[in-house]
Amino acid sequence: MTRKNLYFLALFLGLAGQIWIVYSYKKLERQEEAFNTCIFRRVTGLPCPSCGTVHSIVSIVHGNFRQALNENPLGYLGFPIVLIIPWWILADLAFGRESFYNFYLRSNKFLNHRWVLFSILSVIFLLWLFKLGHFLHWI
Amino acid sequence: MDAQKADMFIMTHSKFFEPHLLPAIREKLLQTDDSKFMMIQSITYREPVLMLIISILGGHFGIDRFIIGDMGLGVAKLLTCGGLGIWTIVDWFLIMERTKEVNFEKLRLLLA
Repeated sequence: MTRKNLYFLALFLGLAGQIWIVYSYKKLERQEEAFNTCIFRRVTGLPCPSCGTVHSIVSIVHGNFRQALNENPLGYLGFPIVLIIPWWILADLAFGRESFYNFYLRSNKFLNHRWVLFSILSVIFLLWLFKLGHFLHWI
Repeated sequence: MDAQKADMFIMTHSKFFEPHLLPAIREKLLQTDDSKFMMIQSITYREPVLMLIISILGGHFGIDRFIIGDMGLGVAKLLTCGGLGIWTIVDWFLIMERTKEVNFEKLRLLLA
């Protein structure tokens, strides 16, 4: 992927993510349920591996770290990513650097090792199973 | 490589590459040694239409990105619920072009 395409995609998605979190935060503060964007959940009625991430991020902002872990542990990973990436790209564009693109190339290379990818996917899958078990009252 | 072989390759593999790159690929093939022909033919190219179907069915989990080798973006897509559903839809329009790009990168590595 070219640098221009990657920056455009990541900036668009990062900013959309930030706006979405602020919107959900306001909704949840008013005790209203935020609009659910998960296609998988709408089709099957079951949560997908990353369902609950926004709730988890809102809990982290409120300082309810335990509740955030219960909602979705991936919130701890997603929060810093969504927070940092758009600003990282904007800084790169402003100073004419390529640090984010180099980071992308390095992480892609790292994830191309089968065992790395397999372990990350296994952790996500186990977390999902746990979440599904909780949702379906198996656990 | 003789012109007949190069034309045959272009005819059978044109769907895997961007149309505007085909003349450049033909030129490169003509300059390449004949011994590489078997290797060039044996690369597994990803089918853009098949990737679009995978993107529609499994794009929410980033499966399309994993298959074409964009592991970083695949994990990001999986972790963000398909980019809150937006990225899933954006990728329906981007994935065919990206697949052709990846196919060209594979071929270019061999022809270099």
